[in-house]
Amino acid sequence: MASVRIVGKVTARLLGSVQPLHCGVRHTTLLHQIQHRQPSLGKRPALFFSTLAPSGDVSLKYKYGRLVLEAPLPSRNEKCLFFLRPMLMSVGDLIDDLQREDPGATASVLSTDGERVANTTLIDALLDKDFQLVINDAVYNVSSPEKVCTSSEHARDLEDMKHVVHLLHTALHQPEHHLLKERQLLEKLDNLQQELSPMEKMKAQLSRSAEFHASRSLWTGMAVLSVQGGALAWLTWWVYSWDVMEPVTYFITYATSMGAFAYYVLTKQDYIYPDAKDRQFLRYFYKGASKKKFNVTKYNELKDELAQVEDDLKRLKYPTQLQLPLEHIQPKP
Amino acid sequence: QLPPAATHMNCCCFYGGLCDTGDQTPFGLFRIALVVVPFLYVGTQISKSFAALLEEHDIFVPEDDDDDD
Repeated sequence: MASVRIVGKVTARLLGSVQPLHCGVRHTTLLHQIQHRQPSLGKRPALFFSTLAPSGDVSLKYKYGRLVLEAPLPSRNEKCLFFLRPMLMSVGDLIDDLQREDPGATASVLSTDGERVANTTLIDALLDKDFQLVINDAVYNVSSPEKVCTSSEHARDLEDMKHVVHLLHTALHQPEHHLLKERQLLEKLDNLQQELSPMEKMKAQLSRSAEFHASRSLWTGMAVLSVQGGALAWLTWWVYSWDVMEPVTYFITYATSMGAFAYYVLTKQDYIYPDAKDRQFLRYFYKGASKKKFNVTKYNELKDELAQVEDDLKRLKYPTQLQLPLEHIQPKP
Repeated sequence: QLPPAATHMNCCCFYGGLCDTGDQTPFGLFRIALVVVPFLYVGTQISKSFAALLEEHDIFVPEDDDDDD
């Protein structure tokens, strides 16, 4: 029984291989017969050609973002453009297209080593390397064009496996980690605020007194200007005359401008009223701080840490409350 | 884009909103006058005594050319 089946299979296979040879003769139409009568140009030497040989070159390039294969068709002596879709078409589709265009052509795709490429291979995979296109025994070397758009796909190896495992781990553990971090940050926030609150009181007090002293400096300046104005006015109109006083006033003005430049030379700051007042404020603040033993450096550090913790908590709001991915750390201005 | 009137003034914020008014000192002008006027008077007194000092020590005595014809 088994042997009969095997014999049957073998005969069927033999008949199947024999039949296509007869098919070409039996099932051709008139058009095919006419086309078959034309000499197959690949076999005859060039001397016997009556028409121009097709330029034996297959070019493959990207035109306006689409992949175009220009191949010479043997039966019609002309080149034909095939627009390929690399991600969707396979080698078998390309061969079918070629044969549909030119029924007299039998095409096959080989690698540069001469090995046949399977029909199910996607064009995208074929284009990784150069290949050979054989049309009716004419071998054309096709070079793969430069990729216009590259996909991020690459051969799987250990690095990818590690990456996938890492992704899984992140997906499973990240929410818990975020909640843990949030709790830690809240604890830290509490600690910092507790440490800062007595310092904040002291700082407010020192600020008030420094502000008072700076303001007092300004009013003192106003008073000095009035004294100068009154003195010069009296001397000009009641004691001496303007002819006597004018040079005096000029030199007083010149001394004032020298004083403003000296301010710059000593403080490296322009003599501008708001900045000068701020400078006075800081001077009185630091004086008061050293008297009351207020550690300004420590206060500044605590404030910076507090700002950092608040910023981190704000960033954590995205994944924990809004289910959004974590924001990047913004550079400090 | 700031509104056209605001391109050279410091009273509009970046998007065209208005800034807050600056520091306001209550009774400002009164306090200024309160400081200026007395100290002006102090100035005149200082200059009077200074001129008297100069005349006393004969450092600088002005010529009396009161009548200009």
